Amino acid sequence: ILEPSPEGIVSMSELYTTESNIITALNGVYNPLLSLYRQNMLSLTELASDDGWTWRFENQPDLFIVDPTSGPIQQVWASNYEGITRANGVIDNLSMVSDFSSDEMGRLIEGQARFLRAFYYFNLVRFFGGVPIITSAIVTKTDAERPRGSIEEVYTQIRLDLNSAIQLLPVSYGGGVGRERGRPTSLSAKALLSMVLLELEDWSGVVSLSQELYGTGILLANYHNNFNGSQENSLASYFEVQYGGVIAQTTTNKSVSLAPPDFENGLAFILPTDDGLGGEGGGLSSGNGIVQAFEDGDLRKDAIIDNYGLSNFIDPSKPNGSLYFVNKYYNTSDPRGLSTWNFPLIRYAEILLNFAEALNELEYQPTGKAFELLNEIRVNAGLEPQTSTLLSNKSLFREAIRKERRIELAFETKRYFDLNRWGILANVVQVQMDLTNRVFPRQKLIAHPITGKDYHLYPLPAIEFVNNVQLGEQNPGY
Amino acid sequence: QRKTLEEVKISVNLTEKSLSQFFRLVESKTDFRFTYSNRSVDLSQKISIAATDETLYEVLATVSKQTNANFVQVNNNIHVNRILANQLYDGEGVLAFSNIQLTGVVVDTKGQPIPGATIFIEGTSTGTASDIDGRFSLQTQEGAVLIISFIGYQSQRIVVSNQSTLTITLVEDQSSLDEVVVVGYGTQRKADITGSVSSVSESVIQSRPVANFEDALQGRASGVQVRQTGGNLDGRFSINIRGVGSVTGSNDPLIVVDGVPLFSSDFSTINPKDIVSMDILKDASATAIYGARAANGVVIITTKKGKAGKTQFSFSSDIGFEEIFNRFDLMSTEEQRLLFVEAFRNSNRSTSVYDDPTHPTWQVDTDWQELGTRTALRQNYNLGFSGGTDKTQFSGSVAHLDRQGTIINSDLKSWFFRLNINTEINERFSVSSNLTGSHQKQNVQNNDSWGATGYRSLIHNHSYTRPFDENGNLTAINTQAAPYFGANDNPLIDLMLPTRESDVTRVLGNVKFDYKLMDDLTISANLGGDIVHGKGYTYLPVYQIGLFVRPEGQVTVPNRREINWVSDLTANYQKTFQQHDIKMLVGFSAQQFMFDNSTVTGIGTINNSLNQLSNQINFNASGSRVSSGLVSSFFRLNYSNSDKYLATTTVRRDGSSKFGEARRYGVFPSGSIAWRISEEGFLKSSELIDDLKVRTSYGLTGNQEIGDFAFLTRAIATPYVFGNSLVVGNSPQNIGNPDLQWESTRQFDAGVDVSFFEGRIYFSADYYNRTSQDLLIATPVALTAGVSQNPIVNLGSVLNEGIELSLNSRNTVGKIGWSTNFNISFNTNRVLNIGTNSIGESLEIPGELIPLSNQPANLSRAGYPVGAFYMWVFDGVWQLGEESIARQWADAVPGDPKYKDLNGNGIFDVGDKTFVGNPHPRFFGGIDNSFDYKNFSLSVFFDFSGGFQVYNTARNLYGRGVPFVQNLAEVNDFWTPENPSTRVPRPSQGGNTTNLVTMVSDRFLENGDFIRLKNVALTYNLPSYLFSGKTIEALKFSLTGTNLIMFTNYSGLDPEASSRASLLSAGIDYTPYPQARLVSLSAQITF
Repeated sequence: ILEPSPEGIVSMSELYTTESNIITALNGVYNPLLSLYRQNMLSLTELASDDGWTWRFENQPDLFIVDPTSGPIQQVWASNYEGITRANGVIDNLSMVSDFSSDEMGRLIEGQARFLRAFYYFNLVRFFGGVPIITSAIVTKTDAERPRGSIEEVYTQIRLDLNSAIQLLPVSYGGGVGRERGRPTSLSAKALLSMVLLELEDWSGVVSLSQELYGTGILLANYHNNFNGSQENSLASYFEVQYGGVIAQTTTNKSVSLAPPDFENGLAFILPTDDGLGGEGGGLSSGNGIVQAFEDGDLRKDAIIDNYGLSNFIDPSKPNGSLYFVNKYYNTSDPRGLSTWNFPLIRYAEILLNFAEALNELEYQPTGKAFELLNEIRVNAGLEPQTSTLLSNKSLFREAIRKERRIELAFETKRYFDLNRWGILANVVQVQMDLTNRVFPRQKLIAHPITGKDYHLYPLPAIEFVNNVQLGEQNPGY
Repeated sequence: QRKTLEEVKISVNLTEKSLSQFFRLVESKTDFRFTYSNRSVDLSQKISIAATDETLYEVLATVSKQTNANFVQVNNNIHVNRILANQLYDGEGVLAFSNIQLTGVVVDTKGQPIPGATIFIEGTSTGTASDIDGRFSLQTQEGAVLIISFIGYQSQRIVVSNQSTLTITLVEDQSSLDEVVVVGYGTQRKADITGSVSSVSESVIQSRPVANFEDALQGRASGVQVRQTGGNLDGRFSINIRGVGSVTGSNDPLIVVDGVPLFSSDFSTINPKDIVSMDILKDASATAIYGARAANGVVIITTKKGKAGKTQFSFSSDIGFEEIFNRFDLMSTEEQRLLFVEAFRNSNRSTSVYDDPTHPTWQVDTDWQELGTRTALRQNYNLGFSGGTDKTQFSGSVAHLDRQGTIINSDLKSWFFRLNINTEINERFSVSSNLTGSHQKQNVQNNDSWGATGYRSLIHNHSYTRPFDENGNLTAINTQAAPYFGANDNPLIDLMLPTRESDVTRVLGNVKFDYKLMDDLTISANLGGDIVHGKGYTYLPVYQIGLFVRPEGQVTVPNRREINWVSDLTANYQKTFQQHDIKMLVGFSAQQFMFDNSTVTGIGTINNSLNQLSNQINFNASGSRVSSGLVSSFFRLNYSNSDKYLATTTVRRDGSSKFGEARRYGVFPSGSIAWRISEEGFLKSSELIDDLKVRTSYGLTGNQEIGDFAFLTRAIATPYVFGNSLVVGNSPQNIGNPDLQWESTRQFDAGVDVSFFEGRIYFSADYYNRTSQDLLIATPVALTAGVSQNPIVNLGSVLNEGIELSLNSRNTVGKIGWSTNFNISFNTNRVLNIGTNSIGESLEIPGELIPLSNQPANLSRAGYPVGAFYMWVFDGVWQLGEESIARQWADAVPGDPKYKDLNGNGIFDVGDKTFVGNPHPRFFGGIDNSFDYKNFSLSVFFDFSGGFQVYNTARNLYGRGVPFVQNLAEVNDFWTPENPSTRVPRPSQGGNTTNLVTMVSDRFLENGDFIRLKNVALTYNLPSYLFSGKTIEALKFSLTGTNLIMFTNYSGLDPEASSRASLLSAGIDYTPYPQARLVSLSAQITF
């Protein structure tokens, strides 16, 4: 009686001993992506950028009223660390596995775990700055109580993991247990590393990685197919959050939380910014409106935004159909709230734009590769190619790249990070804030220790200072 | 020396006054009492008399001439009778003594004769005793008063009238010292008990219609706090005995039904009508026999047992109506429109949609609370039977309860049966068994959460939408209507359309063998089991009502099975040597609990007739299974010297599967002593004090109620997907702790029990000091640990210290019997220590986050009560002229709420939070007054609780002046420059004002103190002479009212509402199923 066999319960230490079981532990490392990219990441990135706003939620990053007790802050922090802890558990216990079917399998598992750990740290460092660096499994409670590392130290760890992952991972997967398509490849690791280097303005590093990646992917002729589940894990992307199945735990509710027919409670949490609203929404509803950012004839527009076709509740004098919503993820084929469409995290298009941006930053070349890359994207979107006549210098080209990134990667959790790394977040958002007589909280900006740019940091969750006295200082301005 | 009527002089002056007024006047001026029966004398007859300093004899003679009454002096009584034609009449109406020979029989309430009862004539030494058949005979006078008494029964007064035979029914005396109290693995005389035990008797349990036994217990026993913690019609109650000691573990007492310690908490499946007594073991001496599960006290429930004799049936039925006795006071549509305008203006938004008061939208004012609730019918039928022979007795019942909910589309139906049998196989060997079964079927509503579900949906949604269209069908606002945002659901859709069933089937019983090995030694074996099967069915139908669409139906079917078996083997040894009494108990026990559950959700039907799992296309299932066990041995010794000096010692050793191998066993000893001072020579002859006992105890008990396998680092399923195929994922859920062990509680108790005036006043007082230590605390871990569960460690301690008083008194005043039961308990709860973090600072454990603000309302910190309220202090509203400080403080503007800057740094920050209240009552109790008059009895029961606060989350959501939900009427007084002297901040929709008004502060914390007229019951027993010679033996009717009046300043529905079981989040009101006022009429017939 006193020794009941734990049914349905297994201790982790038992799981780490066989190949097939440690693969399940590895799958667990991916799992936090599912919840992160349902809503919380969008909340901290798209709402905080000039692309998204919200009408109903009052305590959101839309207004840059984010205090250390904010729910999304805590959840994003916790989910990323969940991924890190799980990756640490896998990496630490690889030596316990006695039955690897091949050396390659061990390498492949380690490579994925390292890739994911780097991915999670990259999220953390961009939101919070220097964070505690934990790279081994948590055995006792105090193992989690580490001081904040510096931003440089976090990037050192990220680069270390990505460089090993590039070595450990295969170029592609053939299928089978542990080798399913959708797991990151060495190309994915290079792509992520190029994003990291872009963030750090290591232009030549970006260029050299991009050269390796160039031609390993494709642009889909139909832009919407990147998001609507029809081309999942295709060559158009290097890494995606894999949604699927039929339950809330493994699918996404983005379709419901962003789209109109499911809009019964007015709780759509991200609407596209629209200059036409004249600042009447109360949130940062206009200024730099993304609705106005589209060029005529852009094939991507209908995929990215669509109108409600309803009366305009913000301004009743406007005609029906004058309110827009984010259409990218609006899914009517799956049961409501249970969309199986993957969410792309690193697309080939982004690599091309990174490449172009880095080339231009290194040196403006009127007919160089940078134009070629930019125009690959534009032509695919049905737009006229840019020429050196129109973009006659580095700075004009930079503006064009920024605008192209905004449209191409709209609502893919990129815009906030871009504005921040360019050091222009405060200025861009201030244009919106002017409409509601607010001031951007510049006290929350730091000088980025690597790029020197003005850089906005979110607060660390207040609860962490209570539970981890080693943690150190809160970010400035909170 | 007794005076005669001739010796007493009196002055009386009455004109056209009734005979009864005359009697009262004489009674007030003399020592005489009038005795009469209503049937023989018309008390309303009018008389006139003017007498100054005349003898009473003369006065009575005058009165007799004006009426048909005559008077006889019997000792100090004046017996009044009707003048009969054949009666000797002396012309003046005052009769001489007349002797009569009276015969009678004394029986108990079941009609069984009581031999040995004494029958005395009041005021004399004349008397007799009843014989083996309960019969007696006595010579007395008409008008004399007989006192009939028997130990263990309430004494009775009977006035002798002109009848010559009497049947006297004695009722068992509840407060007698000879009452037997059920303790663990046996019973004890109350007089012999050395620990602290409260008992609740059958008459109290059955005094009103109750949902379950916890409900019946509320306010009845000192030290026992019962309160509703949410739930549905089956009621979810929490019982706390002597405060709360465990911070994150369970604080539920162990419940033992007829010898079976339960695991399941589905207590509504035990028919309260079957319960004959509840004994609550409180101190360590009483509870230690249950060792590892006794730290929170033990409630022992005993069901009815049969008695030898004629088989007796009793059928009772009560039918009543329930209604919600409180509701929220909400804004009207027009007030809400004005709130929209003001809020939108303050938040810099266009108000144009709200400006026109003549717009059709604003012409609708729906009262959702009215539409969503109803006066509900409650019916209960119970057939009981009992009887048996000398060797075999049985008792059983079948019952049905049908209860409509006060919220529409909710109801509860239960069916119960019970059969208890005792058989004496031979002189040494006997067998008894108890078996009960029940089936409960419930339609539930989702209550008890922050947002728009259950009752909250009736407040949440705006009044400007219509419930029904012109054809009477449910309707909802359509896309053309403006404004169509905000909380404008039709809440009736979710209350009426889905089906939410919850069924529980339970079989609970045991078989016990007693074998008398020697005269002094009995061996008992007890085998018991409790099987609970719970099943639910939820169907969310397909509908399209306006904008509100559910395109696919969804079926959810949860299943749960709990099996709990126990086997005990005990030996009881009892021996008396001279003045030494010894009782010894040795026992072994094994118990196992198996739980498994599964839930399947299917989705996809588009036809509401295809509403079963097999009609769906997509499925989601989950399930788990767990078992835990307990192996124990225990020993108890009771020693008594001359009934004067009493001692008890108990020790139990438990092994539990909940802990790792190294920490599996625990030993729980206790000891107590008592001195019955009243048995000492100097008090033995006291007429005042019948019994006086002082007692004290000390001991250790355990609490093991934590999750299973907390000592392992367990894997939790974290699936992932590749392509569209799911893959298995596993991740650590916690940080395992192999050193986990019991929580233990050290308790000191000192008490006194006194009984005065032949048991008419019984008083009991206890002081206790209870320290719970090695608490199983889920210590918060940094989120960087990346696990979802906080690690559980043994840490810290909590003190509960208090005083319990109970007083029972019986005052027999003339013909009106009046008794009072009163109890009150005071408890102080304080966290002594909940550990420290890595650099030695005290840990603090916050409660759950209140939605929207995402701030906790509770904080547990050493030196304060568990789950004490910790928040900002609301300090009114910023005024014009304070712009610059307000801006500096929190970017606020006039009209915004102001919170005290307690750390004085000029800005609004977490350093301004402070402890503002306590969710645990400082005192609570109940007072019951019962009156008996002839065949009527009336009971008036109040319960009360005070010195605690409740966080009213409804106001935190609907009292903010944020118009997208319906607002409470209190918001009408919002701040404007023209209305500056208010404490209601300005309305807003978004932005900093909304942010500030949403903060968790003491603005929404309210005193919960209440006194409640919990129950009034008026019972009429039809006189027994009506049934002589008939099949029917007794018939009674009762009219009861429950929750009739509540005196409280709390503005929510119920100041007792505490929605979360976790103490860390105690005292938070998320509006559980509202308690109802019940008025019911019941009849009970015995045949």
